Amino acid sequence: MTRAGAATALGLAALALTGCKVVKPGDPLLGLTRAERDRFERGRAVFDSVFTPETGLGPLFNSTTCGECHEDPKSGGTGDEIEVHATAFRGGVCDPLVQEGGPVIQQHTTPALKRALGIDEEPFPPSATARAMRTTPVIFGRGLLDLVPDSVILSYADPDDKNHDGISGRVNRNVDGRIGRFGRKALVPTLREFNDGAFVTEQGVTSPAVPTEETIGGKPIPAGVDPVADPEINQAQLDLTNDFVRFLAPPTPERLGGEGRRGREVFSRIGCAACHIPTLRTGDSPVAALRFKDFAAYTDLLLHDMGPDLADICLGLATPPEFRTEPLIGLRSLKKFLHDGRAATPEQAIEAHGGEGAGARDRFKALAPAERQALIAFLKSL
Amino acid sequence: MKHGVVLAVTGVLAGSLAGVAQHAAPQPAAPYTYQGTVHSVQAQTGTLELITAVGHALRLVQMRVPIGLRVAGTATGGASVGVRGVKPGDVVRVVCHRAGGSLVADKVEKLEPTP
Repeated sequence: MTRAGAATALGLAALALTGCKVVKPGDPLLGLTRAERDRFERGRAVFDSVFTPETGLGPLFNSTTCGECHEDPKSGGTGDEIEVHATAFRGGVCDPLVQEGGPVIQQHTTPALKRALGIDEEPFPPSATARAMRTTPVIFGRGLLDLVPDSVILSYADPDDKNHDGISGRVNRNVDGRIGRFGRKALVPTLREFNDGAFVTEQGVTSPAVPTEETIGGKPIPAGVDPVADPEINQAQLDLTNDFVRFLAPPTPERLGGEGRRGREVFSRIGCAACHIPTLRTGDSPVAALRFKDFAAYTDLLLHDMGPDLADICLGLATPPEFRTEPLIGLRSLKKFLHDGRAATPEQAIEAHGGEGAGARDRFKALAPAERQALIAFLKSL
Repeated sequence: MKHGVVLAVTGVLAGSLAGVAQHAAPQPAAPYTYQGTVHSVQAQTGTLELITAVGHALRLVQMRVPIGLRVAGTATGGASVGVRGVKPGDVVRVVCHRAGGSLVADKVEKLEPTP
């Protein structure tokens, strides 16, 4: 049995197991203790709390609250905001342009910063070789992805395409060398770090984990524009937010009819499942609801070359055309597809696959209309 | 409270003293440990700039590497002298202390990817 075939079989079993109780988008994981569920609810309150300049917002920011972007259909879902990232790729080396305010280029400023510098957004780095647009992904099931052992991710890697299937996934690594898995370029090793970093990069809210503000194009913030003492939120708030995010359950896929079941078979047959691995298993955890769980992930958490048409920035080891396989958890909640939202439908997203995804794309395009429709029906059930 | 890029001490701070590094209270003798990617090396001044990260919040940390300090390499077991032993893109772990408002490296170790 191929890796995709084995994973699909496991996936069917996992889906059958979760079929007992329907988990809706935004719901907590099944099996949390009362205390964990309480932390989930309290964490959601922090996640949805609106920051103002008086409570730490900015002076640069993309949103006033986590829930402003992750709002649809519930907290932890998607949103219509698009953010901007920038890096420079020269001679095969990626420069995240920290010295010029990269890689996240905030799109809003507080009134005080606007008065001081006359800017409405962070200046785009002059040395950037690419601009990336980034949609808001759903973050359901991320606590499960967080616990997939590195060894599992490495087991799917085939950087030299030794099996000659045209797919050569490889890991990205954080700046400190650890294997990454979060973010569209898989730079970030853990969910906690992603969440901790997001407070300051997205909202300009400092915390004990990141006690310094973003610079403005690499320059320090002018005196007097951010009077709130750092850190602007405390460790308890950070911990609660992290618990809310990691306890967000993957929504139960909608019940498949005959067409959807055929679509699931097509998904594997044409090679989608080679990268969008249907099922992953978590490792050990103090949280029973997260420990040794099979779940429908539809990702291998690896970088794949998606071809020149999708290429944008580099990040870590990821070259401009390389992206982490997007988990398809909660896909039915999305209204825009691909990392930059350029695709309005799943069909368009599949047809935009290039590079290592070109084979599956071509097989998709060659399908009979009824099979294509079946595949889309399956995807829209996730 | 605002800090310039050079003095930003955020990022991935390995070791139990991370909390010490993240507060502005003076701790002149306490060691700081940083693990990150070398951004730039200035051999003439013995200056090393590291990129550290918490999520997508990346920071630059600048430090001085004293002349004669050996840079250890974990894979080869070899060592070279001074900042010439590292180059942009290398992943390093640096133990340093604060002196006169600047960071000064006490130990620089070049790391290889693991696993």
